Amino acid sequence: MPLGFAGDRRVVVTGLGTVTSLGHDAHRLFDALCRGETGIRPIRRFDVSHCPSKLGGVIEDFDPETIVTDRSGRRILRNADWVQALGLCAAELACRDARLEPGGVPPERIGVFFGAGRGGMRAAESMSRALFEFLRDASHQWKDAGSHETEEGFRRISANIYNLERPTSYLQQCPCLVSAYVSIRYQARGPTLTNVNLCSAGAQAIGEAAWVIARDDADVMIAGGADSMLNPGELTAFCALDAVSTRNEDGPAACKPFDLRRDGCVVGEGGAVVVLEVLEHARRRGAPIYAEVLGYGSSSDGYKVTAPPEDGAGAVLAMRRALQHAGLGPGEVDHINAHGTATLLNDRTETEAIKTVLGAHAYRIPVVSTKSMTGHLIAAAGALEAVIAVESLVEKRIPPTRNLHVPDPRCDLDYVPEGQRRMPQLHVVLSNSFAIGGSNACLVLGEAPVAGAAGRENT
Amino acid sequence: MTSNAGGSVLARLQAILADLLVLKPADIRPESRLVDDLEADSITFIELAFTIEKEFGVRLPDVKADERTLSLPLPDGLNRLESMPGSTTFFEFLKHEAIRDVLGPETRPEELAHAERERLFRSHTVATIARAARAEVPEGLDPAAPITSLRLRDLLRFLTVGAMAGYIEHLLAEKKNTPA
Repeated sequence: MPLGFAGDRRVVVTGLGTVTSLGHDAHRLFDALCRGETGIRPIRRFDVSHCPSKLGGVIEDFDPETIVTDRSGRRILRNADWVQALGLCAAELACRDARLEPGGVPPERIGVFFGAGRGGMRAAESMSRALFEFLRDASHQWKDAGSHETEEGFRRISANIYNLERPTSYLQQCPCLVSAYVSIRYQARGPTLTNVNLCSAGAQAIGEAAWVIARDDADVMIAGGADSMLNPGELTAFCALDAVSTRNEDGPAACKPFDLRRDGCVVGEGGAVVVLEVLEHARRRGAPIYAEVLGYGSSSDGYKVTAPPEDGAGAVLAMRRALQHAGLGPGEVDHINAHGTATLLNDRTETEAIKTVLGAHAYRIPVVSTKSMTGHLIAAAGALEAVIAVESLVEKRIPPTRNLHVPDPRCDLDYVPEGQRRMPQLHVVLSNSFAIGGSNACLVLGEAPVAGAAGRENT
Repeated sequence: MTSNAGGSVLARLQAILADLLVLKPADIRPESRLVDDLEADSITFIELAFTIEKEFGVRLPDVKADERTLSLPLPDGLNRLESMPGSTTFFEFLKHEAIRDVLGPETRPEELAHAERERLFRSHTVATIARAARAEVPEGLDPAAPITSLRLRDLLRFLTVGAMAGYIEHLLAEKKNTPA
């Protein structure tokens, strides 16, 4: 008997919300991806001359107040960091898509799980500037001071560091407030969690949220991810980990998943949220039912921080667990939305891991990375790719792996480089997320249950 | 921030509150109560204190009103605040306004005998405080109830924009009269 969601409480997806460099409507985003459009563009938001990467999946010309239009929401936005705002907006879009009103579900039966980036960088930069000006103005006092006095001065400043600029700076640096703000706005008082596992955080948030519903702790969960590392401090530091492409001159072609010439990802930003719901509840209120969460598996590499083991053992474990919970055999997978960051290591080890789990069947199914078009959204990546997987199941078509022109003999699966592909028999999708630090997540998504069907065998 | 440094204290305060509370300045009237009418919350008060200090160059003696003190019955809370060193809190300011309201504008509340102040506490009502703050009695409070039925923190519900402006003016005057 499979462990997972095969019991009475089937978990379905009833709402989609995305805020990305390719637009803020999940359906139009998917359309753009299928057409091979790119959201990768030169970073204009800050001076990139000191940063090895000059490109990003940048969200331009976006004002969160166009999505959050009421006063109480704007009061939240006023104090929110950019990452928190992206999460709140994506949640707003997903809940609207699901036709979910604040207070529409008994509060203790709806919860919020998010994967969140560290965020708070704008506040950190303002604080740095305030500190710099404070020190510059006070430096004459300490010019001739002894080490004891300067130590004392330092202690006083570091105790007040958050108050230099404004007292809510600290709140902007708390990733957990993404979940809190959504919870406040939707009166979602059920279970809550914020996951900070970098590149797998969003997928883990969705997977764990599905479990909450399956074990009858909630009927609805708002789950997703939000992140932006597109600021001078974080992007430059991240580049030092050798995971980011420096082929800036290639522009939209810089990120080349599974390609022989690949040299890393392009960092993106955004928010992506799904509304998860127990099937009966969704049917009763006439909610749109897009897809079903069939399984979820996670693991930790326990190997190195910035490299997976050559055999992809952690990824294998996550995928196998997910399939086990779904009660599915490897041969029942129709398509994989890969982690596919276009780093030398990931694409090779992920390919190995897929072959280990699926055997010969790995060669029969399309494996796509959408990161070459959206960018790598880090904590939001797994959530965005879950949305893309859901859309694939609804529309029975899949986007291509853009920028794959020179095959790598060690990456020899069908990565769909030529363009979108229609798949009338698309029933089950795997979505992979493998993080720096070694945490891994795999979501198994299936097409929406047929109305009136009693069990899984009828879908 | 957004306020006009040359305008009146009230106008500058209105601009600050409009920004903090996401309201139009026209929605912020002198009689608007920060909590009951404008939906100020604890974050608002933290930001407001910070902004007032920066904008007007005054120090708000917030450390005097800690959790324990705020939970005390009103007369005890006020007595405790007065016994602490440091400049006037809003609560003390409001009390002085109430005394002046009752005994006349020329009264100097700090010169009243302790016994006289205690007698005033016990013989006046919630309505007296409301009148001093120029505020409508907050919902759930009985205007005829004695002042002693309130806790110190309840005074925050009487905090109007106008009373806040008066308090800031008081602090500005206090600062002028205090040697640096």
